[in-house]
Amino acid sequence: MQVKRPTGWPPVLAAGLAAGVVAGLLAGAAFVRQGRLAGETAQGWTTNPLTGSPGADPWTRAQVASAGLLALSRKETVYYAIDRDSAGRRLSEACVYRLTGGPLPAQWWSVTLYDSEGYLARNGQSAHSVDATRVGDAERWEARIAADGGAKPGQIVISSRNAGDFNLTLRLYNPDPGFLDRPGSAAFPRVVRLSCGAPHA
Amino acid sequence: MRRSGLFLISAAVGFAVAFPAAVALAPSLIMAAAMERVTGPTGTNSWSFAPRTTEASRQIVRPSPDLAYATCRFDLRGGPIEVKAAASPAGDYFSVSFYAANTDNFAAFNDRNSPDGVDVVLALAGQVTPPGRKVVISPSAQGLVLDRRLAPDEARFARVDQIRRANSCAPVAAVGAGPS
Repeated sequence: MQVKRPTGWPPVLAAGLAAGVVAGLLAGAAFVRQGRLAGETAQGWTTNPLTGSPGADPWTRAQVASAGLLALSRKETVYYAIDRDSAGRRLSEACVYRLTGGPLPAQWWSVTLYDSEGYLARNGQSAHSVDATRVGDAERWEARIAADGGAKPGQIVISSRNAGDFNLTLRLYNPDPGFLDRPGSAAFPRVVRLSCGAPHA
Repeated sequence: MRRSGLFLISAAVGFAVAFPAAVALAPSLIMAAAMERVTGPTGTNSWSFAPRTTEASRQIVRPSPDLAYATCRFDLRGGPIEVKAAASPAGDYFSVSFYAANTDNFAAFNDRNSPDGVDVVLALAGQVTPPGRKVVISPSAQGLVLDRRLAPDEARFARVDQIRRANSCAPVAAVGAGPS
Protein backbone atom coordinates (compact mmCIF):
# COMPACT_ATOMS: atom_id res chain seq x y z
CA MET A 1 0.00 0.00 0.00
CA GLN A 2 1.40 3.31 -1.03
CA VAL A 3 0.98 6.27 1.27
CA LYS A 4 0.30 9.52 -0.48
CA ARG A 5 2.62 12.17 0.90
CA PRO A 6 1.28 15.69 1.24
CA THR A 7 3.00 18.00 -1.15
CA GLY A 8 3.15 21.76 -1.13
CA TRP A 9 3.04 22.52 2.59
CA PRO A 10 6.63 21.75 3.63
CA PRO A 11 8.13 23.82 0.80
CA VAL A 12 5.84 26.70 1.66
CA LEU A 13 6.76 26.47 5.33
CA ALA A 14 10.47 26.27 4.54
CA ALA A 15 10.30 29.17 2.13
CA GLY A 16 8.37 31.29 4.61
CA LEU A 17 10.74 30.44 7.41
CA ALA A 18 13.79 31.24 5.28
CA ALA A 19 12.31 34.52 4.15
CA GLY A 20 11.50 35.45 7.75
CA VAL A 21 14.98 34.57 8.96
CA VAL A 22 16.64 36.60 6.21
CA ALA A 23 14.35 39.54 6.88
CA GLY A 24 15.01 39.24 10.62
CA LEU A 25 18.77 39.19 10.18
CA LEU A 26 18.66 42.20 7.84
CA ALA A 27 16.37 44.09 10.19
CA GLY A 28 18.64 43.23 13.12
CA ALA A 29 21.68 44.49 11.26
CA ALA A 30 19.84 47.68 10.33
CA PHE A 31 18.77 48.19 13.94
CA VAL A 32 22.32 47.76 15.17
CA ARG A 33 23.76 50.03 12.49
CA GLN A 34 21.46 52.85 13.57
CA GLY A 35 23.77 53.14 16.54
CA ARG A 36 21.60 55.70 18.26
CA LEU A 37 22.37 56.26 21.92
CA ALA A 38 18.75 56.86 22.80
CA GLY A 39 18.07 57.57 26.43
CA GLU A 40 18.09 60.61 28.68
CA THR A 41 18.19 64.04 27.10
CA ALA A 42 19.46 67.22 28.72
CA GLN A 43 19.38 70.53 26.85
CA GLY A 44 19.42 68.72 23.51
CA TRP A 45 22.26 66.36 24.43
CA THR A 46 21.38 62.67 24.67
CA THR A 47 22.99 59.91 26.71
CA ASN A 48 22.16 56.35 27.58
CA PRO A 49 22.78 55.69 31.27
CA LEU A 50 23.35 51.99 30.56
CA THR A 51 26.29 52.58 28.22
CA GLY A 52 29.11 50.20 29.14
CA SER A 53 27.06 48.69 31.93
CA PRO A 54 26.64 44.95 32.49
CA GLY A 55 23.03 45.86 33.26
CA ALA A 56 22.38 47.01 29.71
CA ASP A 57 19.62 45.20 27.86
CA PRO A 58 20.51 43.43 24.59
CA TRP A 59 19.06 46.27 22.50
CA THR A 60 21.12 48.92 24.25
CA ARG A 61 24.25 46.75 24.25
CA ALA A 62 23.94 46.18 20.51
CA GLN A 63 23.52 49.85 19.68
CA VAL A 64 26.33 50.91 21.99
CA ALA A 65 28.59 48.31 20.38
CA SER A 66 27.88 49.93 17.04
CA ALA A 67 27.92 53.60 18.06
CA GLY A 68 30.44 53.65 20.88
CA LEU A 69 32.34 50.40 21.27
CA LEU A 70 34.63 50.32 24.32
CA ALA A 71 32.73 53.06 26.07
CA LEU A 72 33.24 53.39 29.79
CA SER A 73 30.54 52.96 32.37
CA ARG A 74 28.63 56.01 33.57
CA LYS A 75 30.48 56.20 36.87
CA GLU A 76 33.75 56.61 34.97
CA THR A 77 32.63 58.65 32.00
CA VAL A 78 29.38 60.07 30.70
CA TYR A 79 28.97 60.40 26.95
CA TYR A 80 26.47 62.80 25.40
CA ALA A 81 25.69 63.19 21.72
CA ILE A 82 23.91 65.89 19.76
CA ASP A 83 23.13 66.24 16.06
CA ARG A 84 20.91 69.34 16.15
CA ASP A 85 21.61 73.00 16.71
CA SER A 86 19.91 75.11 19.36
CA ALA A 87 16.93 75.59 17.03
CA GLY A 88 16.55 71.86 16.38
CA ARG A 89 18.04 71.87 12.88
CA ARG A 90 20.31 69.05 11.71
CA LEU A 91 24.01 69.88 12.07
CA SER A 92 25.55 70.21 8.63
CA GLU A 93 28.92 70.85 7.04
CA ALA A 94 27.20 73.53 4.95
CA CYS A 95 26.67 75.75 7.99
CA VAL A 96 28.81 77.67 10.47
CA TYR A 97 28.17 77.30 14.20
CA ARG A 98 29.28 78.82 17.45
CA LEU A 99 29.82 76.34 20.27
CA THR A 100 29.76 77.98 23.69
CA GLY A 101 30.01 76.66 27.19
CA GLY A 102 31.12 77.13 30.75
CA PRO A 103 32.47 74.95 33.55
CA LEU A 104 31.52 71.30 33.18
CA PRO A 105 31.19 68.95 36.17
CA ALA A 106 34.07 66.59 35.47
CA GLN A 107 37.80 66.18 35.97
CA TRP A 108 38.30 66.55 32.22
CA TRP A 109 35.91 67.06 29.31
CA SER A 110 35.98 67.29 25.54
CA VAL A 111 33.63 67.95 22.63
CA THR A 112 34.48 66.08 19.41
CA LEU A 113 32.99 66.25 15.93
CA TYR A 114 32.25 62.97 14.12
CA ASP A 115 30.91 62.30 10.64
CA SER A 116 27.75 60.26 10.11
CA GLU A 117 29.77 57.03 10.26
CA GLY A 118 31.10 57.86 13.70
CA TYR A 119 34.69 58.63 12.67
CA LEU A 120 36.75 61.80 12.74
CA ALA A 121 36.00 63.76 9.58
CA ARG A 122 38.73 63.79 6.96
CA ASN A 123 39.16 67.54 7.22
CA GLY A 124 42.91 67.64 6.66
CA GLN A 125 43.26 70.20 9.45
CA SER A 126 43.63 68.05 12.59
CA ALA A 127 40.88 70.17 14.11
CA HIS A 128 38.37 67.74 15.51
CA SER A 129 37.68 68.82 19.06
CA VAL A 130 37.91 71.24 21.94
CA ASP A 131 38.82 70.09 25.43
CA ALA A 132 39.26 71.41 28.94
CA THR A 133 43.00 71.91 28.51
CA ARG A 134 42.64 74.23 25.52
CA VAL A 135 40.00 76.70 26.62
CA GLY A 136 41.60 79.75 28.14
CA ASP A 137 38.69 80.69 30.33
CA ALA A 138 36.90 77.65 31.70
CA GLU A 139 34.08 79.87 32.94
CA ARG A 140 33.16 81.01 29.45
CA TRP A 141 34.66 79.33 26.41
CA GLU A 142 33.82 79.33 22.74
CA ALA A 143 34.73 77.44 19.57
CA ARG A 144 33.83 77.91 15.93
CA ILE A 145 32.55 74.96 13.92
CA ALA A 146 33.00 75.53 10.21
CA ALA A 147 34.16 73.78 7.06
CA ASP A 148 36.71 76.40 6.05
CA GLY A 149 38.34 79.59 7.27
CA GLY A 150 36.72 82.57 8.88
CA ALA A 151 38.29 82.11 12.29
CA LYS A 152 39.66 85.00 14.27
CA PRO A 153 43.25 84.80 15.53
CA GLY A 154 43.41 82.58 18.58
CA GLN A 155 39.91 81.28 18.11
CA ILE A 156 39.41 77.56 18.66
CA VAL A 157 38.18 75.92 15.49
CA ILE A 158 36.55 72.55 14.98
CA SER A 159 36.55 71.73 11.30
CA SER A 160 33.41 70.23 9.75
CA ARG A 161 35.06 69.92 6.34
CA ASN A 162 34.02 66.64 4.67
CA ALA A 163 31.84 65.82 7.70
CA GLY A 164 28.47 66.01 5.88
CA ASP A 165 25.67 65.81 8.40
CA PHE A 166 27.72 65.52 11.54
CA ASN A 167 27.27 65.07 15.27
CA LEU A 168 29.11 66.09 18.38
CA THR A 169 30.09 63.94 21.36
CA LEU A 170 30.58 65.47 24.79
CA ARG A 171 32.76 63.37 27.12
CA LEU A 172 32.76 63.98 30.85
CA TYR A 173 35.59 61.98 32.43
CA ASN A 174 35.39 61.32 36.15
CA PRO A 175 32.12 63.21 36.47
CA ASP A 176 31.32 64.90 39.75
CA PRO A 177 29.16 62.59 41.91
CA GLY A 178 26.43 65.20 42.22
CA PHE A 179 26.13 65.46 38.47
CA LEU A 180 25.23 61.78 38.13
CA ASP A 181 22.31 62.33 40.48
CA ARG A 182 21.03 65.44 38.71
CA PRO A 183 22.50 65.63 35.19
CA GLY A 184 19.96 68.20 34.08
CA SER A 185 21.34 70.73 36.54
CA ALA A 186 24.56 71.26 34.56
CA ALA A 187 24.88 73.93 31.87
CA PHE A 188 25.63 72.00 28.71
CA PRO A 189 27.42 73.55 25.71
CA ARG A 190 25.18 75.29 23.18
CA VAL A 191 25.45 74.97 19.42
CA VAL A 192 24.14 78.08 17.67
CA ARG A 193 23.96 78.28 13.90
CA LEU A 194 25.48 81.47 12.52
CA SER A 195 25.03 81.04 8.80
CA CYS A 196 24.64 78.53 6.01
CA GLY A 197 26.00 78.18 2.50
CA ALA A 198 28.78 80.72 3.00
CA PRO A 199 31.87 78.95 4.34
CA HIS A 200 33.65 82.20 5.15
CA ALA A 201 30.74 83.90 6.87
CA MET B 1 -4.91 31.28 0.11
CA ARG B 2 -4.11 28.59 2.61
CA ARG B 3 -0.55 28.37 1.32
CA SER B 4 -0.02 32.09 1.45
CA GLY B 5 -1.29 32.08 5.02
CA LEU B 6 1.18 29.37 5.94
CA PHE B 7 3.96 31.29 4.22
CA LEU B 8 3.18 34.43 6.21
CA ILE B 9 2.93 32.59 9.51
CA SER B 10 6.22 30.74 9.01
CA ALA B 11 7.90 33.96 7.84
CA ALA B 12 6.68 35.71 10.97
CA VAL B 13 8.09 32.91 13.11
CA GLY B 14 11.42 33.12 11.30
CA PHE B 15 11.54 36.88 11.74
CA ALA B 16 10.60 36.66 15.41
CA VAL B 17 13.52 34.32 16.04
CA ALA B 18 16.13 35.90 13.75
CA PHE B 19 15.67 39.57 14.64
CA PRO B 20 16.39 39.34 18.38
CA ALA B 21 19.08 36.73 17.71
CA ALA B 22 20.87 39.11 15.36
CA VAL B 23 20.66 41.92 17.91
CA ALA B 24 21.86 39.67 20.73
CA LEU B 25 24.82 38.36 18.75
CA ALA B 26 25.89 41.72 17.34
CA PRO B 27 27.97 42.96 20.32
CA SER B 28 30.09 39.81 20.45
CA LEU B 29 30.62 39.85 16.69
CA ILE B 30 31.52 43.56 16.69
CA MET B 31 33.84 43.04 19.66
CA ALA B 32 35.53 40.05 18.02
CA ALA B 33 36.18 42.09 14.89
CA ALA B 34 37.49 44.99 16.95
CA MET B 35 39.84 42.71 18.89
CA GLU B 36 41.27 41.47 15.61
CA ARG B 37 41.80 45.03 14.39
CA VAL B 38 43.48 46.38 17.51
CA THR B 39 45.68 43.38 18.18
CA GLY B 40 49.23 44.29 17.39
CA PRO B 41 51.92 42.08 15.92
CA THR B 42 52.72 40.81 19.40
CA GLY B 43 49.36 39.01 19.62
CA THR B 44 47.45 38.34 22.82
CA ASN B 45 48.52 39.19 26.37
CA SER B 46 50.74 42.10 25.44
CA TRP B 47 50.18 45.81 25.01
CA SER B 48 49.78 47.42 21.62
CA PHE B 49 50.42 51.17 21.61
CA ALA B 50 48.38 53.17 19.10
CA PRO B 51 49.91 56.27 17.53
CA ARG B 52 48.14 59.62 17.96
CA THR B 53 44.52 59.47 16.93
CA THR B 54 43.94 61.16 13.59
CA GLU B 55 41.27 61.21 10.93
CA ALA B 56 42.96 58.09 9.53
CA SER B 57 42.14 56.15 12.71
CA ARG B 58 39.40 53.74 11.70
CA GLN B 59 39.85 50.72 13.98
CA ILE B 60 37.21 51.74 16.52
CA VAL B 61 34.27 54.13 16.13
CA ARG B 62 34.34 57.47 17.92
CA PRO B 63 37.99 57.65 18.92
CA SER B 64 38.98 60.71 20.89
CA PRO B 65 41.76 62.75 19.28
CA ASP B 66 42.66 64.02 22.75
CA LEU B 67 43.55 60.64 24.24
CA ALA B 68 46.43 58.20 23.80
CA TYR B 69 45.18 54.63 23.51
CA ALA B 70 46.88 51.33 24.21
CA THR B 71 45.20 47.95 24.10
CA CYS B 72 45.92 44.48 25.41
CA ARG B 73 43.86 41.69 23.95
CA PHE B 74 43.73 39.18 26.75
CA ASP B 75 43.25 35.43 26.66
CA LEU B 76 42.89 33.72 30.01
CA ARG B 77 42.52 30.16 28.75
CA GLY B 78 46.15 29.52 29.60
CA GLY B 79 45.84 31.02 33.08
CA PRO B 80 45.69 34.44 34.76
CA ILE B 81 47.63 37.43 33.51
CA GLU B 82 48.96 40.46 35.31
CA VAL B 83 48.13 43.93 34.09
CA LYS B 84 50.30 46.83 35.10
CA ALA B 85 50.02 50.44 33.97
CA ALA B 86 52.11 53.31 35.23
CA ALA B 87 50.37 56.50 36.30
CA SER B 88 50.33 59.60 34.11
CA PRO B 89 51.75 62.90 35.44
CA ALA B 90 49.87 64.08 38.51
CA GLY B 91 46.51 65.59 37.69
CA ASP B 92 46.34 64.19 34.17
CA TYR B 93 43.47 61.85 33.44
CA PHE B 94 44.26 58.21 32.74
CA SER B 95 42.24 55.05 33.00
CA VAL B 96 42.68 51.34 32.49
CA SER B 97 39.43 49.59 31.69
CA PHE B 98 38.53 45.97 31.13
CA TYR B 99 36.02 44.75 28.54
CA ALA B 100 34.44 41.31 28.23
CA ALA B 101 33.86 39.59 24.91
CA ASN B 102 30.26 40.87 24.93
CA THR B 103 31.50 44.52 25.30
CA ASP B 104 30.65 44.90 29.01
CA ASN B 105 33.04 47.21 30.87
CA PHE B 106 33.48 44.98 33.91
CA ALA B 107 36.26 46.92 35.68
CA ALA B 108 37.95 50.31 35.45
CA PHE B 109 40.71 52.09 37.31
CA ASN B 110 41.72 55.72 36.92
CA ASP B 111 44.06 58.37 38.29
CA ARG B 112 41.64 59.16 41.11
CA ASN B 113 41.19 55.67 42.54
CA SER B 114 44.65 54.43 41.47
CA PRO B 115 46.95 57.47 41.60
CA ASP B 116 50.06 55.27 41.73
CA GLY B 117 49.07 53.28 38.67
CA VAL B 118 47.37 49.95 38.13
CA ASP B 119 48.70 46.56 39.21
CA VAL B 120 46.17 43.72 39.12
CA VAL B 121 45.87 40.05 38.25
CA LEU B 122 43.14 39.28 35.73
CA ALA B 123 41.67 35.80 36.04
CA LEU B 124 38.63 33.69 35.41
CA ALA B 125 36.60 32.57 38.38
CA GLY B 126 38.18 29.48 39.86
CA GLN B 127 41.66 30.05 38.47
CA VAL B 128 44.54 30.00 40.94
CA THR B 129 45.99 33.45 41.55
CA PRO B 130 49.06 34.59 43.47
CA PRO B 131 48.37 35.42 47.12
CA GLY B 132 48.37 39.04 48.15
CA ARG B 133 47.61 40.43 44.70
CA LYS B 134 44.58 42.49 43.74
CA VAL B 135 42.49 40.23 41.52
CA VAL B 136 39.94 41.21 38.87
CA ILE B 137 37.63 38.43 37.74
CA SER B 138 36.76 38.45 34.06
CA PRO B 139 33.36 37.15 32.96
CA SER B 140 34.88 35.92 29.68
CA ALA B 141 38.08 34.13 28.74
CA GLN B 142 38.90 36.72 26.10
CA GLY B 143 38.48 40.45 25.93
CA LEU B 144 40.32 43.74 25.89
CA VAL B 145 42.13 45.98 28.34
CA LEU B 146 42.19 49.60 27.22
CA ASP B 147 44.63 52.22 28.52
CA ARG B 148 43.46 55.80 27.95
CA ARG B 149 45.60 58.84 28.76
CA LEU B 150 45.04 62.53 28.32
CA ALA B 151 47.19 63.62 25.37
CA PRO B 152 45.63 66.57 23.55
CA ASP B 153 48.83 67.71 21.84
CA GLU B 154 52.08 66.28 20.48
CA ALA B 155 54.13 67.13 23.56
CA ARG B 156 51.73 65.51 26.00
CA PHE B 157 51.33 62.50 23.75
CA ALA B 158 55.10 62.01 23.67
CA ARG B 159 55.25 62.26 27.44
CA VAL B 160 52.53 59.71 28.18
CA ASP B 161 53.72 57.45 25.40
CA GLN B 162 57.05 57.17 27.16
CA ILE B 163 55.31 56.46 30.47
CA ARG B 164 52.98 53.79 29.14
CA ARG B 165 55.82 51.84 27.55
CA ALA B 166 56.49 50.54 31.06
CA ASN B 167 53.06 48.85 31.09
CA SER B 168 52.88 45.09 31.20
CA CYS B 169 50.17 42.64 30.24
CA ALA B 170 51.54 39.12 30.50
CA PRO B 171 50.89 35.68 31.96
CA VAL B 172 51.45 35.53 35.67
CA ALA B 173 54.80 33.95 36.33
CA ALA B 174 55.29 31.17 38.84
CA VAL B 175 51.65 30.67 39.74
CA GLY B 176 51.71 27.32 41.38
CA ALA B 177 48.99 24.80 41.82
CA GLY B 178 48.52 25.69 45.48
CA PRO B 179 45.54 27.47 46.98
CA SER B 180 45.12 31.16 46.27
